[in-house]
Amino acid sequence: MATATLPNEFLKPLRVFASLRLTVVCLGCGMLLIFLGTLAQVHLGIHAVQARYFQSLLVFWSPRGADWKIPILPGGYLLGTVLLVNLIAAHATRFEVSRKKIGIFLLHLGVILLLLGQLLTGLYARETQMRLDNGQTLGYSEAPREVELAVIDVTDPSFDQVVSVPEEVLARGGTIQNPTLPFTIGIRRFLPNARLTMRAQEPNAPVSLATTGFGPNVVVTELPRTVKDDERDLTSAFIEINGVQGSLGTWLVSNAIADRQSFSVNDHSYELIMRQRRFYKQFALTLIHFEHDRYAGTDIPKNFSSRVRLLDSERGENREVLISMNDPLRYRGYTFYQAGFDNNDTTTILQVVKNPAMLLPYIACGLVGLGLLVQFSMHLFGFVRKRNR
Amino acid sequence: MRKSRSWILWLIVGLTIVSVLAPLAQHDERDGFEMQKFGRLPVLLNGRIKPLDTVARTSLLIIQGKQTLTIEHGEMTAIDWLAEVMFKASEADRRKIFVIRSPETQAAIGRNDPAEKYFSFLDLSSHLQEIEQQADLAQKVEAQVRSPFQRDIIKLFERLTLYHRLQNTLEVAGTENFKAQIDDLLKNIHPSQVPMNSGITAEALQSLGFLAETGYFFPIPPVPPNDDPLQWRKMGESVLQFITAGDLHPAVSAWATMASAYAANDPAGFNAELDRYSDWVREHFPNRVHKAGVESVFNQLEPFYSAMIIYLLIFILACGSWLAWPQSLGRCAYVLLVVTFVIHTAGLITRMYLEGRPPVTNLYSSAVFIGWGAVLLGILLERFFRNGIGSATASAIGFLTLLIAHHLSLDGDTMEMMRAVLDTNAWLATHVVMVTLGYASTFLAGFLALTYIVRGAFTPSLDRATANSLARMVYGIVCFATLFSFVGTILGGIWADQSWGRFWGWDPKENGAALIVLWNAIILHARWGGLVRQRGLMVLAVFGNVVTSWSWFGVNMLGIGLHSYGFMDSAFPWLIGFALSQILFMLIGMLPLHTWRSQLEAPRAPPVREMTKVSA
Amino acid sequence: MFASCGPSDDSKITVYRIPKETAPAATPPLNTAAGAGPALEWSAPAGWETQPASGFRKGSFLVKGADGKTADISIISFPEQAGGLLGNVNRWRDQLKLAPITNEAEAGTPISVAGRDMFFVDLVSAQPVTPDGAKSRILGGIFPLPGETWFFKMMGPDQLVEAQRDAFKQFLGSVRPAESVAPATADNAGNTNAPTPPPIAPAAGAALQYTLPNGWQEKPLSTMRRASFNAPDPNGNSADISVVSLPGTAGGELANVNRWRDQVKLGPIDEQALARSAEHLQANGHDYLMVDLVSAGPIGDPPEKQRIVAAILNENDHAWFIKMTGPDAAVDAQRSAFTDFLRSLKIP
Repeated sequence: MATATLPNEFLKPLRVFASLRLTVVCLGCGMLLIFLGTLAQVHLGIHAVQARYFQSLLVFWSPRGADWKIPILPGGYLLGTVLLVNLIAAHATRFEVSRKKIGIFLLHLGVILLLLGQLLTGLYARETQMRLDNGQTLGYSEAPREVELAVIDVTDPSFDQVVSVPEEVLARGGTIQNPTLPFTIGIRRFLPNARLTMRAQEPNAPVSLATTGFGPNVVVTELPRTVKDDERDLTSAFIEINGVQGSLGTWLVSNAIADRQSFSVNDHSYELIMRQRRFYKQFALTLIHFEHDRYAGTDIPKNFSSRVRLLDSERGENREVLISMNDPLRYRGYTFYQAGFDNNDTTTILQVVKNPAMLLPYIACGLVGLGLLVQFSMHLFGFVRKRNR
Repeated sequence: MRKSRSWILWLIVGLTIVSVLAPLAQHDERDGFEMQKFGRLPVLLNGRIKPLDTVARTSLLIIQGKQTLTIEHGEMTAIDWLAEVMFKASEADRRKIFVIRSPETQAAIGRNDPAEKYFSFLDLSSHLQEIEQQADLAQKVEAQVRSPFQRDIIKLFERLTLYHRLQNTLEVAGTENFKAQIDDLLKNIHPSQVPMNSGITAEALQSLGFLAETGYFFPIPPVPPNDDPLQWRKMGESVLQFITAGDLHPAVSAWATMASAYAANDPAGFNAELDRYSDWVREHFPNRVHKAGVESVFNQLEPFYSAMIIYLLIFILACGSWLAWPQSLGRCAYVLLVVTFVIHTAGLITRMYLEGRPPVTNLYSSAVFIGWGAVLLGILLERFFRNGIGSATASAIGFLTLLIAHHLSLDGDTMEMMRAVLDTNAWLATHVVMVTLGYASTFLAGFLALTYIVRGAFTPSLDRATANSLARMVYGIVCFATLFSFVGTILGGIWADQSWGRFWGWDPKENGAALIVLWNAIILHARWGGLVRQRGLMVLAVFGNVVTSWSWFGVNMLGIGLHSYGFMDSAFPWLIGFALSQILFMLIGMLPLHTWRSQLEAPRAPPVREMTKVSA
Repeated sequence: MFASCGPSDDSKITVYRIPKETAPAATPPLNTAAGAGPALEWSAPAGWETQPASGFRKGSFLVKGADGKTADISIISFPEQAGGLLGNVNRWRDQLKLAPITNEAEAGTPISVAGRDMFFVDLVSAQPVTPDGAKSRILGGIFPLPGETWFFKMMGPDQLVEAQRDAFKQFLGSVRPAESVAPATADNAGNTNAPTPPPIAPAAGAALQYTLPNGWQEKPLSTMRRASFNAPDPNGNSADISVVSLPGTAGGELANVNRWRDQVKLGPIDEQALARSAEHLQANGHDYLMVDLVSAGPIGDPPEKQRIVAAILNENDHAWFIKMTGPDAAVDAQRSAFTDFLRSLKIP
């Protein structure tokens, strides 16, 4: 590195970031992070680990029960960023562009794209699910691990107007005012996970915050968020509706309760419900048939597939599509994957993914493969030629 | 090479080939029954049509842990045993095939004699209810936290269940003359939608229902020309079909005739019916029969088992070549390595043909393939360097991986059906093969580095030239490993993206693959950056063994993740032991040079000169 | 509107218009962290095929009719009241294209299960709702428990479901709190992943209860009989006694008697003859049809007079066959023991 030429004095500070030593340290930290992250999955579950280890700047540790924490490792975002800077700096300062370096160059470009792709995916991709019963048509998908408070104006006989308040806003608390609503929504209490029991079963429980709806009859007990991959939280909140005249009452809403609660303000009828967050699409899918093949004489699944009808009045689409394992439907930026099934094979569960960075890994893979191949075959041929001489 | 030793070389090679092919010459004709032919009959089990011989071998493996049964006078093959289990229950029930070592499990069956470890089904039959009860209790505990006794009793119960189901597959165990029963049905039954109205006795109906429920494999093929695997039937199902719909499947009476002839000790009758039925299935299901035949020959030859033993021999020869007769021993090892590689490859291709799949489909086949890949690379190294190192390391990995494969095969049939998400040959052929080759080359680099450290530290045999060539080998193989594991891992991401829209999900198996890529990248960058020199490179490469064994086996022991193959507690101490041994070798590799037996002065210039230009 | 800190609109309140929803919303899977509610157990009637319980189904069965039609039985639990009795009954009514009801009292008939109230629902569609033109029927049991409500539901063609009504009620009656809490996790060991490996111990499920008559020996392992005995006499002969039960009503009384007659080389008889010759034995609250058959002359090897004494019972959709066979002398010696045995036998 002593021989590295600096084309520009301006690049000097970059040399610090360009060192191979930094590369090796970053890669080493990456290994440690991944290893510890894998071990942590046993107790934390894959989702918590992703958030804590890989989609974070720093990984913190705190002893059981303590309320302080110390950073022990750089998180995935930080490491990825440093590696990116390191790579770019190295190319800016150390590498001269030559035919001999073309392999390394391609390879590193691929790695840069890979890192960028993962960063973009972490920030922008959204995974939701669509559950379709036989014959059912849905125009929306649901977030499996996120709720929303839907305030639905059902006054108009031809349509519903929905105001959707996402979980993040609910968790922040405070008061919500929306120009389309003639009232404010005060969040009295938000419980990320809770158990609901009938008051009749627990006569000694303290009086509920709720004053109207079915809330007063229900006892709500807060629970820690679940870490298991196959469970989800039952989220609840107490919300107070305040009109111009004052409070209309406090309701309990929870995604454990499928019924809507209604009230009216200014001759408008509203309904309240807490449910899995919905994402409406410009098109709808109808499940025609779900098929589940097994291998002869076993319960080992051989294939799952869903025959669905795709309806898009905007674009005039109306066609049948077969979605099966390893063969998704891609439409208008969404990809629908066969993810599961239910109800004795009469319900299909589709994973709905929107990922603007979807193509980057494909390009990266090509570049990395090509780069490695070029570089190593150059060495190999050089080596063989030398031996044969 | 001098001529005098040349014939010895060829003699050794010839003897090896003969010993590998020897099993073909054996002909199993126990007491006049054509058992070998019997073993080739196709049946369906676990979604795959396979020869009865495979069913016999895997069942005996599961129940007893070995593929043959030692009896008072000599040995019984698996198919002999299976025939006895199915047709002569009273004799089979006396065979002491159930091994119970745990004193607690012995207590559960009312025994406490530590010397007595082998039990027959008869010994255990009076305790079936206790065993089932205990196993039921143990089943309710989560698999990861079961005590050794709980695991043992569940295992025992599973083995007993398997035995019991095998016994009640073709006929209800203890039936004396099944053929007569079938003939009786044919004579007296008026097929009817409502079975009870067909004139069948309640007891016969119950026994058929029992057969249909309990039977282990599916012996009755579809009605020709239908060849749908879903249409294979259990014995009881097929006869019940006859009761309700008429038309007895010809295979039913064929199996029944064989059963009765075997029970009556009538080899001539048995063989005649066997010939007739074999011809019938061959005529109607030629492809199935051909595959079953190939599989049965494959079972008989056990190519991976012979290859394992020859690899051990090669390893000894190649190590010997560093001490004496480097030319002849080295050449002998090399030729044998090539021959064994051919055997290994033939086995691999046969498996691919039988399964209709790329080489790696489960943990077992990954072990076979890692060995294959490492040996292939080792042969190439040996061609270039001709110093016995390629042969020694390749044969060592070949031996160890096939040994691991052998132990993995004790769980039963190694050709399982692929679960839906894995059922794509294109990805199995690219992603899985690439990643497995990545494992193989990382292991090869690690073992080459081990050779360097062991020869350098414990023997005077590591001279400068050998050391330099080893360094070149390790470097080259690490490059290969990086290529394979990097591209393989990204392909895996793309597969995941295709299948469930997630390029990278931080699943343990994915993380394991990433660790290998990162570690290889670290080795290369440390080398390029001059952070390590020759010995440092070796120490780093040895750690590659730890990283690879973690991602190959360790992540499966976490018991979580989409890729998990099941809980393998027994292998855990071995993995820890292996990792510790590698770390010990790394420490030895870092000892001051003067403590090493080989005299290696520090190299003046980095030996892999041409590679350092990267950071010019 | 609220300021967002994320790069996407993830944390913003959104307003949109959608067409009126007609069908109730899809209920997401409910495998809840909070759902440590009571677990239940039940016994499935004979003839119901267990289906893999997937997703939020706690249990699932299939019943096949003679014509190949099937009815589906599902067991589901939801936290809390899950929409209340009325709401759920109306959901079911909707599936059968029946108009909703408003009076909760009409929703279901309370029955007592495990000491609590369960609501039994029986709905049949007015019109065919499936393409095959048959009416559909739903039998349901709604079981409100502390913290959650369980739904037991059988749905299928009217005829088939109607025929299964008693079985379904019996099934509802079998619902009880589970004793164990830990779920049995599937163990993917070895090769035993074929569907439903049967138990190896005989007569799994409810064991038979009886008093063993003097001189009878229980046979150690008779896998397919409910019970099996041997009664030797001093001459080295012995009578063989077996107890067999089969699901379904035995329309085959006559067929069986004729098969037995055939075994002792007697000619077949018809229904009238059977009715005429049949004796009945009242024992332990059951009404057994008794059969006693002796061969006309010595048969078999060695030639001996053979005899069959048997009892047939139709009860609870099960046919029971208790049968004693053997040489005439040996069977005759055990006749009274056989009757004693029947008197002591408790049919589960």
